[in-house]
Amino acid sequence: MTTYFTKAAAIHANKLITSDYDQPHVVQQEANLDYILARIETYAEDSHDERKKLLRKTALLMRYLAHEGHVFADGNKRTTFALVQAFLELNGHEIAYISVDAETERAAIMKETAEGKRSLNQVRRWLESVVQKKP
Amino acid sequence: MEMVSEAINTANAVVLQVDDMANNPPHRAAGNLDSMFRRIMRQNKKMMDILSRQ
Repeated sequence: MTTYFTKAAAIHANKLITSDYDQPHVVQQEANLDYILARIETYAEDSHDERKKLLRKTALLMRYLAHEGHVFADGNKRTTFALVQAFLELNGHEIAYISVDAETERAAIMKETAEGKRSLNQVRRWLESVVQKKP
Repeated sequence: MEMVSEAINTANAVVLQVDDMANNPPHRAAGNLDSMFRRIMRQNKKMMDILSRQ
């Protein structure tokens, strides 16, 4: 069974992140947040493989929030990454920390995703390559 | 008559879906996950810094 975070938690993540960088915390497209949180609950439910199902849901969360959601005035990419990692962890997986270089690469991937340069399938394939079961 | 029957079948299917959701509600983690988010931010500080400048 998949575990989800709540809308309040998503908003709290952005509050923490913007506060850390002295930016205003503004929820500007709350309806988009409602939509994506409802959508990931029903998406990929036809998948019988639990890992594939989780990664498909995570890819949808990552691409939609980073690229199309415009949910927050600031910190959308950072909040998306935090929510992606939290969603994976809640379901026994994680994007494992490798190195500082890997962080730079991940920042580039988040940026490309936010700019719409990575399709949903490309995002899913990237997740397949970096997500592992939590030890 | 056929259309009425189809409408009833569709309505029944919707009711079944709603019942299914009520019987198997999505599981949501409790709380605002404050400590988890703080740890994720700390562990990915460099990435967060890079993204904050874009």
